[in-house]
Amino acid sequence: MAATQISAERFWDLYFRNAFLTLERLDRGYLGKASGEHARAQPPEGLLRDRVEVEVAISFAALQEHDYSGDGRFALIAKRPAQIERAYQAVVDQSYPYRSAAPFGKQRMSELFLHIRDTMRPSPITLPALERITVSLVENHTAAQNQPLAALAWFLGERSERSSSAALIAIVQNAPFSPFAKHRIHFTAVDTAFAALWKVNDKASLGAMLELMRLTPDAGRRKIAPLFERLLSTHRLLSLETCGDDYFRPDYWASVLRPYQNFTPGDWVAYDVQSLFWEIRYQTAFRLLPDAAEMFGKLGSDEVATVRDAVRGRLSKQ
Amino acid sequence: MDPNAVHLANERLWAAHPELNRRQLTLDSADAALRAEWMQYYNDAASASAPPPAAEPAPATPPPAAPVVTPCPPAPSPVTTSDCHDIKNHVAEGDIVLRGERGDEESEFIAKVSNCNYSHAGIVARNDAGELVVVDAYPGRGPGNKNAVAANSVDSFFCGHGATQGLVTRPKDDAVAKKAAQWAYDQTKDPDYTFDLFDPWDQDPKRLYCADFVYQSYQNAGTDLVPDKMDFFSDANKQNTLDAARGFDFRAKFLSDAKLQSELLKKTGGSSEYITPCQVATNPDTDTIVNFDTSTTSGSPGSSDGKKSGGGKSG
Repeated sequence: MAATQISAERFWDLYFRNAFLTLERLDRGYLGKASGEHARAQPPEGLLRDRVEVEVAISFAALQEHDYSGDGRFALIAKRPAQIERAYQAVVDQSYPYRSAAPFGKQRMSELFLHIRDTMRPSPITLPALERITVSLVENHTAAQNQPLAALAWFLGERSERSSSAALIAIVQNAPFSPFAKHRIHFTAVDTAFAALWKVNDKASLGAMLELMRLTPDAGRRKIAPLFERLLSTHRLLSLETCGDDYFRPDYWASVLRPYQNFTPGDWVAYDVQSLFWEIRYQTAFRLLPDAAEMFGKLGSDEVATVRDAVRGRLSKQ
Repeated sequence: MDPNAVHLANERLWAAHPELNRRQLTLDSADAALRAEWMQYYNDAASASAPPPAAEPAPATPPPAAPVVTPCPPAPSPVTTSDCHDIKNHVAEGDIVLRGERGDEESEFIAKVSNCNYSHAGIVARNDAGELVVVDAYPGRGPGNKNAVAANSVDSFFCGHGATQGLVTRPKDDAVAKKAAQWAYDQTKDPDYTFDLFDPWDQDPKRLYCADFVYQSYQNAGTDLVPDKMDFFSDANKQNTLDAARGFDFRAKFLSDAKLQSELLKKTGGSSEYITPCQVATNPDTDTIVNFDTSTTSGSPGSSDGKKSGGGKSG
């Protein structure tokens, strides 16, 4: 069956709906298979529906035509306040440029952030302080801390620093599916922590996640596998459709990781230049060392203008 | 994981290793031997607890020795009715409303897998004109399932969609209920909500489904109504799900458990969790106000509006 040429708008709609069953990022464009518009219904009703699949293709040239600056799904990522205190205050003020879903609405996020700041006083809002309070809330967990933990996990994800992975893993380690959990943290905080682990993109934490995947029952494996998919897919989406039953098997992900076991953070940055996910390529534009001319060049011609702009901004400051 | 066995394994490990000072094990290689030991304790506890004891799992913190709050006033006696038009006379702001239908294979499949006789949920709110309405997330209201969140009359919710059974429950905390209702109604002014079920990466804050919307309304009022999502492939639910699938789809009868589970997971993109309508409505924080059931007497069931698939199923 020939692939249908789709518009950039349709491509990004499928991308953000997580609707690609398979996807390849080739030299000049993407080729993939997606589930149809209405193929997925509410569980358990969705279990009754036959899947509607469609083969799609789009060139990088067509993707470059997209209005990235006018599309909040892209533009808002660059509007996050760089300074952490300002970002925190923007959540309190309800003026934060929410691109990635927070676990609660703006008003509730504001209430929670005010509460967290009160408990932190007189410490200033710094990333290490927020990571510390996250770990402290996990260690001294009660049900009242579930919502503050979810809010903090989301914010750590927004800051996208590798150092936050330890605090986020502390949440995941107390999910209902986790072995040797000391507490039972609510699924909202756990789900938010998983999303934040993707945004933080700390490849050094993959070993710990793999160990957790080995020890956890199927419920945990169904949570962890999509994180590996997101963090490790480069030219080909490592999806359930692509991997089949291997997708939920720790040994499979161990085999994927094995060639990279001696990778340094710098090696992983080079790996991420090839990521299938534009958000990771965007992040990589800020993680590259100044002398990585070849990789800057590659990202500088990215199909997503937001990534290209990040590279330009970075180079202009050097 | 069995929470009771986790608790027992932790206690046994900490008793054997006081030097741990009751700290949680890490995923670091330094703890590898302790993790193996913990797993042994866990397996011992899990096998010893089968069949599971009736006792509640041990709480993370000891319960208070004496009640610290005055007892709640007695719950109102629920009204039972078979007339869908009667329900509006009993609802209040923040009430959680459920509807369902019975009698066909699909409905039975959904009821069996979700362990819930209701397939759609909404929340009662007061509109700008001061009338009580039901706010819900529902597919097909706009192109691409946009405009998913809307307010309609209580009659429309129960009578306009072929419902044969319904439930109204009321959160015990009136202030929280009002706050949740207000949040829910405010969302009807936002056309960007899209009905969708699987957004594991939360890339779009406005993709949701019916029970998720009610749940979020209460979350935004500060209350988590649902402690755990329903996992239709958990150890407890898996066989039930597979049996239901085999009852619905003839081909499924000829697939092994593993193959059938694999096929079903592909249909949902690998996700097996969701919030059921029953979970948001019936929990320790709510009281039942109305039971609606057309089978009780010759009452007034909801009309199907001539749309079979548009009825109570997809919420």
